[in-house]
Amino acid sequence: MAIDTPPRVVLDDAPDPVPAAPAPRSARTAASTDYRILRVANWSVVVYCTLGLLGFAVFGGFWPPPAEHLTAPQISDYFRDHQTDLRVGMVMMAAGAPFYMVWSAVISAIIKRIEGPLGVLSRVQLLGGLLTGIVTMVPPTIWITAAFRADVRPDETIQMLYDFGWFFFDLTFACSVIQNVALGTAILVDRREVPLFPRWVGWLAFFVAVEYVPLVLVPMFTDGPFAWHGLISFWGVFVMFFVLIAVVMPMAFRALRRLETEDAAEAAA
Amino acid sequence: MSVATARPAAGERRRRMPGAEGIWVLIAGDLAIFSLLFLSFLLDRNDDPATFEQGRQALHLDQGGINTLLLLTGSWCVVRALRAARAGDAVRAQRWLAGGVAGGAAFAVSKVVEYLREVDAGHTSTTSDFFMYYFSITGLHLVHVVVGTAILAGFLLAWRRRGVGSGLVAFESGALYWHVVDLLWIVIFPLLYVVR
Repeated sequence: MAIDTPPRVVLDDAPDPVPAAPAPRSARTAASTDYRILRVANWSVVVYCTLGLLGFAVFGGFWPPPAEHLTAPQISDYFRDHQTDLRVGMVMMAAGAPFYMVWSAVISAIIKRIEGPLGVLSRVQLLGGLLTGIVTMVPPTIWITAAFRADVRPDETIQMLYDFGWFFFDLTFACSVIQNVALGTAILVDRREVPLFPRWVGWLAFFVAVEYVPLVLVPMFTDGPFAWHGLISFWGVFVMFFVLIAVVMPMAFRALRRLETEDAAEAAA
Repeated sequence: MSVATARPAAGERRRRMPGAEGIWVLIAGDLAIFSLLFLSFLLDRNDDPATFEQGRQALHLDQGGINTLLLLTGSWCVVRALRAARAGDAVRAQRWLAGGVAGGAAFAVSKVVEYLREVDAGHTSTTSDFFMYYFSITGLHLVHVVVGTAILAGFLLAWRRRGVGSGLVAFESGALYWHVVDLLWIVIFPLLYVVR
């Protein structure tokens, strides 16, 4: 049910402006932008979050995930007991991941308006978003491999795949760091009188980037706050990842509205 | 923010929070993460007070004390540097800031020596939960110290080249960050080294 909602918004949105906008057709120049597409792409992060959280947290039951210190028989029992749920969940997670890349492309487009055509921040942000999407796409394929045929695989194999999935997930944190730092920098170098994004959003992006750094400790401890199920490495990192999305997405809608108004004023002049 | 804009005619300078606009979000977040760590430490200590007390007694209180002095002195130097920079006294500002940089660098060196002493005594992050917290909390703090010292050193170089007049808000942000590093240590020191 919940998965259906975001695309439906898209469909509701689409037919609306078409008849209501006769003017843009004549006014449209090579430089004009279709803001409907940008808005739809901005909504796409809702698909990402819905599929990702449903797959990872609800079906996978990884909220919090099975602990880093579990023995091979313990983690294998988990995979055997939840074999079907894990398969469904991991498929959802992998399928949802590319929507994060689409969303990053919108943010990149807005950053381009801040920094100009030769700027590198929009590209770094997009690359970081692309890689972050891959980071949430590969671990589910590893975990589904562990769940698939879990009944006939030896315990150690399942444990190894479970570990591998987590290391792929956590040790690639720098992909998200470069995305956040590029976004934060772009927000802070914005020279408009009223910046497109409020400055605190830039500092929030920096904070979330910094918060990922303790993930380097995941391989060092199997329990405590730095283990992959721990207070910092799981709760801190995962909650803040979604908090940043929840802040940036509405701000991106606001920025798009302002850019559209500016474009319209420019076209009228 | 709204308080400041509500009274625009109070004078040339509007009342504002020190540092770059919005930097408080970063600082509050950083403090929140460390608070989570402190909370987690206290909860785990509650479960196993004997091990934690044993670990605490194995720490070098004297060196922790010296580090506290180094960091507080460095912070005081940064305060004086900011005051001198605001007054436009370039020579003093640079001298005080050099003191702050030296304080941070000395802290880092002393901390590394302390780690080596602990490792020599056979204590590593896997020895016990206490040492897990000891190495990770002080290690994360040390990263903050190194970054903060580098930021202060960057300002010192910039001041030497371009004078102290410009970029005062940026320096305020750097100084703010430095005081956060300081504040964190003032919690870490009693929490790990002193409190039974």
